[in-house]
Amino acid sequence: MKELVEIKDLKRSFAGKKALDGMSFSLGTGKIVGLLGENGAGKTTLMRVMAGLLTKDSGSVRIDGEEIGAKTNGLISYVPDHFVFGGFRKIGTVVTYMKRIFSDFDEKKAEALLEKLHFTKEQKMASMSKGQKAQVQLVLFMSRKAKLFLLDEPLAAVDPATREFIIKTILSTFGEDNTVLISTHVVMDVELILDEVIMIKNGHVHLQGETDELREKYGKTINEIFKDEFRFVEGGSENE
Amino acid sequence: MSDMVINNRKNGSRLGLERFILDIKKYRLLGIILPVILLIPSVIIQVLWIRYDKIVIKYGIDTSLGNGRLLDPEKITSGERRIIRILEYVLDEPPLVRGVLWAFTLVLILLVVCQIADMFKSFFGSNSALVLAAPCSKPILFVSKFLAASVTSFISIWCSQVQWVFIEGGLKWDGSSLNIMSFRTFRGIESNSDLSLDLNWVSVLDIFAIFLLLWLGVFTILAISGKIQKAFKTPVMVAVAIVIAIALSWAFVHSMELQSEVNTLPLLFMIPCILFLADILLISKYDAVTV
Repeated sequence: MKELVEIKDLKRSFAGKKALDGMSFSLGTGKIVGLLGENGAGKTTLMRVMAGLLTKDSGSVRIDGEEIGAKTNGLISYVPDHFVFGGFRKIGTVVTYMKRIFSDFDEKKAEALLEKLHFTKEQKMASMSKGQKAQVQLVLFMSRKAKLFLLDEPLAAVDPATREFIIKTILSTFGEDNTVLISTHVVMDVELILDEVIMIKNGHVHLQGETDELREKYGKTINEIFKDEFRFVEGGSENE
Repeated sequence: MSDMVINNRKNGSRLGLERFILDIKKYRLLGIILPVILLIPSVIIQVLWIRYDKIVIKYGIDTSLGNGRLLDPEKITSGERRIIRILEYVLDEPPLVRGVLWAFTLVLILLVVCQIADMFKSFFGSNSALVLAAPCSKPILFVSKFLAASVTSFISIWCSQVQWVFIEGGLKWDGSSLNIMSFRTFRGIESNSDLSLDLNWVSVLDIFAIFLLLWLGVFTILAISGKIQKAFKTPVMVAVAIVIAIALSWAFVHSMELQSEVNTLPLLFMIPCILFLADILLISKYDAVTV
């Protein structure tokens, strides 16, 4: 069976520093996958390469059998780690913008979710709090009928209530035909919804597996495994 | 759902077209609506000239002396007298004309500033991740923005040229047909009255052709330098590319000055230069932007 994501020996460096150093993994459909790793492990670089924003130095990245390009951008909904809808735009304008750019954007779904959160079309992005912006951004990107959702640190710097909303939104969007890849440090909050985890370290896959299997194998929660694998000691991580 | 997903995909060129329409809409106020509105004073002046010419023919006024004002007030209507007053008594450059010229300059500058700001925002700003992650190839994205900037710039340039011609020159009614004069002062004195003028179409197209050539030239250099930078990824290449961009823009601006072309043109030529720089700067963040 063809995998949705196939990455082989992916390398990318910035000014001599290796951000991705021979990363290889594959993902099937119908999964929520956690991309876990310490700061600078290469999570954001990996997502940006997959989203077609950064080029690779070498290796292969295939999404649904296609090399990264305009075609794969149509299959991926990438939620960056910063807010892309800034300024004095109204929510209504942003919804129209998304509709025009992405033909798979489900306007009704977005509007229903926004209404549920008590947002109005006239509300301006500039007047919103950080948490509200995170909610709006997530709702808009998750309202696409994409095959692969790339969520870069969606839980960072948001309050517990917003985290809960984000997790609920991910679950409501997720289906058998798509896969959600979430990069996060906040493992505890998402652990229960993850089907699989990929732990990356120094630009390559350190550990990958089904969450249930890993829990059974290590006799610990994913959060505990993560802490053990990335435990920091003075001068670097313990495992280095 | 997967079939629906595939069927729903827009192809790149359609998306490029939609982006082009979005950009045109973005610039519609400065690039289309305001330039057209600013043509209104010129149109009003031309209407007045035609009415003035009819009065001249009616009363046999010698326009070379601009003596319509000497006519017996009893003979002419108050409306006719008002038109004569407007066209024979006003200054060579009345406040209205000055105001319109200033407004046009302002609109063109604002348009250029907005286009530059938009390019920066799209390729370099916080929402570049959204713009560049669109299912559209980067050349199409780039070209659609280029076309939108070109179309709105062309309309603005054309309107300003037409406005200039109609402020400086004017329509003349000779009793049977309309002629375009190359020069009519606001005192009712004509110059080169035998010379017909064709709305400066040629000069507008000349300017625009140079504008297009410059864009395409820089676009090609950008593409080549982008490839080189991707291959070598050295700061030296970035520095070389910046120097080339500045030198190229300066050369064009200088050549324009030598040809005594429109003053606003150098500003328009800064767009590709800035865009080029923006593209180079983007290498460090989202290098996939380079075509």
